[in-house]
Amino acid sequence: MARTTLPAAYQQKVLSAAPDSELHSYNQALPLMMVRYLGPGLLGLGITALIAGFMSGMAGNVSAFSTVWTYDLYKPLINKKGSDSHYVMVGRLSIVIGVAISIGAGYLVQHAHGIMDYVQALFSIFIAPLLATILLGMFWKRATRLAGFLGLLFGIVFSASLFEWVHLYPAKLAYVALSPDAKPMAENVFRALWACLFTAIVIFVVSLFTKPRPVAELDGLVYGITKLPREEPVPFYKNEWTWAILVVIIFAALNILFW
Amino acid sequence: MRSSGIPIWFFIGVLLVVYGLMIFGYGVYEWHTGIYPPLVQLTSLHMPVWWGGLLALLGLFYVTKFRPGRAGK
Repeated sequence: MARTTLPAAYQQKVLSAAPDSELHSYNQALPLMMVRYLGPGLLGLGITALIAGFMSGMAGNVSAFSTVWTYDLYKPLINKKGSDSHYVMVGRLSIVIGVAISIGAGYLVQHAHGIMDYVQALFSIFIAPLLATILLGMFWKRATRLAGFLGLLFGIVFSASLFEWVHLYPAKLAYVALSPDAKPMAENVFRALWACLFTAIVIFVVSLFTKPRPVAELDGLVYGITKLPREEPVPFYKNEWTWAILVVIIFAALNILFW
Repeated sequence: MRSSGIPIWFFIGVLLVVYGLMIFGYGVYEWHTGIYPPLVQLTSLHMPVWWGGLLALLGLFYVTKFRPGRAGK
């Protein structure tokens, strides 16, 4: 196995801790840590694992994007009467276009403090409202379809508006993140919190004014209404609680060891 | 449809064994000679030895459990 998969010139720069601005980017925290603590062999394995993880995530996201576009948007809204081969072609084309868009989005990261800031900003805009929607949909039988849709839509708009509001008027950061000196990551977390709460409120209010589904139709969808199957006894090593307890013990031990 | 061929887990086990032995071997070499890569920290923990050994053991488990002829039982 090669000493490292990093180019030799880059590796030398990293190991020598040269005072280069590139070395102080937060984006390089993980590769820098790996170069610092992993020797030959393990370093290559670690880099391979990083790249494999990226490829796996990319494959899953691309596949999901193509499926959602083809079956949830294109087929019901644009072309209902296409043949199977046509939808396959649409799916493949959407993958190419989606990857091209993601490459373009990568250049947007250059304007952010780091990849993490960019990702957390996106999560606070899209994922935080989705969390409230899913939680209420799963645990509250009174939630309605229209309420879920409007809650998600308005939650995303609300979160994006908060983002742009602070971007245009930096002083408003004090209202969003409760401090004028808050760092971008703190702002992201607070924005996610407000978006989640706002979405939950919208879903709650709209649900009260819309007709819910009959309880019988919610079996398998809402917790509390769904009959959970009875679990048969299994050997201890196949019981999830065994492994959960083991993980907690290891977690506690590592915290004590490295406190 | 009856499955045929060698399960992929066998090949994963082979890879783990090969990588594990290589890393373990290097770890033993650097521990024995005392020659460690410059600027790499915590070499006293001898991570290649432990991780290489663990990888190899895990690979051996997969190779044994999913070897051709036994897989599918």
